[in-house]
Amino acid sequence: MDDAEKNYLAAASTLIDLPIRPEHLDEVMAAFAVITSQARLVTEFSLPEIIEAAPRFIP
Amino acid sequence: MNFWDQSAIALAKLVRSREVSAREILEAHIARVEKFDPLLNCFTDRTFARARAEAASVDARIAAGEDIGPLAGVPIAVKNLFDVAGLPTRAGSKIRRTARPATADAATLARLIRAGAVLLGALNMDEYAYGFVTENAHDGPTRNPHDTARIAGGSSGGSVAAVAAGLAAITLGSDTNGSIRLPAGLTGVFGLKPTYGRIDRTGTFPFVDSFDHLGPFARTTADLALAYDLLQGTDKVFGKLEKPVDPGRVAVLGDWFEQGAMPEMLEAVASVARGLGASAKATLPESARARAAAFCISAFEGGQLHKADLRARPEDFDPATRPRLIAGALQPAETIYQAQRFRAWYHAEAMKIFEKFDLLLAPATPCTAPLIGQKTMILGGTEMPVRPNLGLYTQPISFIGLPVVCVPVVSPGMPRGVQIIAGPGREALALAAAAQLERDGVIAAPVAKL
Repeated sequence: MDDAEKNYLAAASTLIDLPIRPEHLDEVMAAFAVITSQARLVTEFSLPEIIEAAPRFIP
Repeated sequence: MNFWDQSAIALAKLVRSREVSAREILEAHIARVEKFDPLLNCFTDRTFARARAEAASVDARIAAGEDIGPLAGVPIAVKNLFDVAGLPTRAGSKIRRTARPATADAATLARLIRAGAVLLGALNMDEYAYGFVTENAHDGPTRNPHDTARIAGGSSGGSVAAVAAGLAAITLGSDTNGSIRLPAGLTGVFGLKPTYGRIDRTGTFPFVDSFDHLGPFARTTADLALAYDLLQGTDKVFGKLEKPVDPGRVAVLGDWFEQGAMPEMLEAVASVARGLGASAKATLPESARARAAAFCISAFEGGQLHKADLRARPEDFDPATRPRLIAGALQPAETIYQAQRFRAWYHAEAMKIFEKFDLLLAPATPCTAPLIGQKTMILGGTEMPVRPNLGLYTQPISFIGLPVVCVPVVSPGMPRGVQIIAGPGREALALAAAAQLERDGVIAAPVAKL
């Protein structure tokens, strides 16, 4: 996990008020590293602009 | 006669014809639960008093000449994320053990009870359904009846092991990323993950709203089809099991769905393909990204769902669940938005394949059941963690909500499951294929020898 990811995790934790206890920090960082690697597979893929997000609100 | 190795349909026939009472069938199953569950650890709650009352009611109504439903006197059980009146819906957690008891059964459970079933209890699972192993830190591991040193898979581990061991004829489970298909494959039972949205989730504890499905397990295709008909009520598939499969409309999924699979799993898929007379291959493009997108959305929605408890009492979570939920909740919005956009794109790609084919085949898991406590496995020559990678071939399919019947292939050694995947709403096609394979002896789910 690089510094940018560590900094993001700390900032996001503060911003959404989901503190990470010191004893849980290593395991959360490891999990976040896995998620980040998976997320990259998604965000690097170029989608046509016409593609809308899958969920639909049906009133 | 051993009632515990009979199908649900056979048991109901015995009861409806008054050859055997519902009470006798129930007591045989209770005796089997008491004998083997201390070893297997399927049940977290036993509702035997309720079951005895339900069986007595079935017997009394039959004696009075009433027409009891098609599950008359059939012992069933449910994953412990289904509401059971009078029990806290623990969903595999420590935190919810003290939740207010459910005031009514889940809608699906109520449907089976109305059809004459009797409820034996609630079943073990991964905490909050976030796992593939059912090595629950609070309730212990559920053991695979075919080799008790091995996992039953998850997250519906108690549900599959109970059916495989003859503790119940039908059970219910849930599938968000593979939690019906994967454990069904590892324990050699039939499992149906219907089309997303097909079955009413009222009265079940959620995990990932975008992907949560409910479905049944059984030891025969006919039992599975009957349970499905009862669970959703409109699409009657039970009478369509004889419909022949067009071999030219069946394809084996290649690419992602073969990479890393152990040879015995590829042979299981080949066996099903031969049984259906199929020789075509199909490719569902970018399935690695589909799996990744499902991975991220699951962690995010699950993490957000449990945020209040993650903030207030993180020490009460299963250590295997906690870090993934916290990390998931902290993901940037971009990931989730793009993952949901990718979902629409991937769905469109799948629909193109279904213009040419009706059914697609893929392994349920990359390997047979790992050992309890096993941390890593070798897939395609690469060592990788067991827990996140057992669902490699199930996650892309539930990501787009396709119906799947997981079938147990007749083979030596540990069970091997194959996914028979259909287009949305076409459960009947997948069940008809399973019925054909079962008639021809390619697949079967005998009770495990214990």
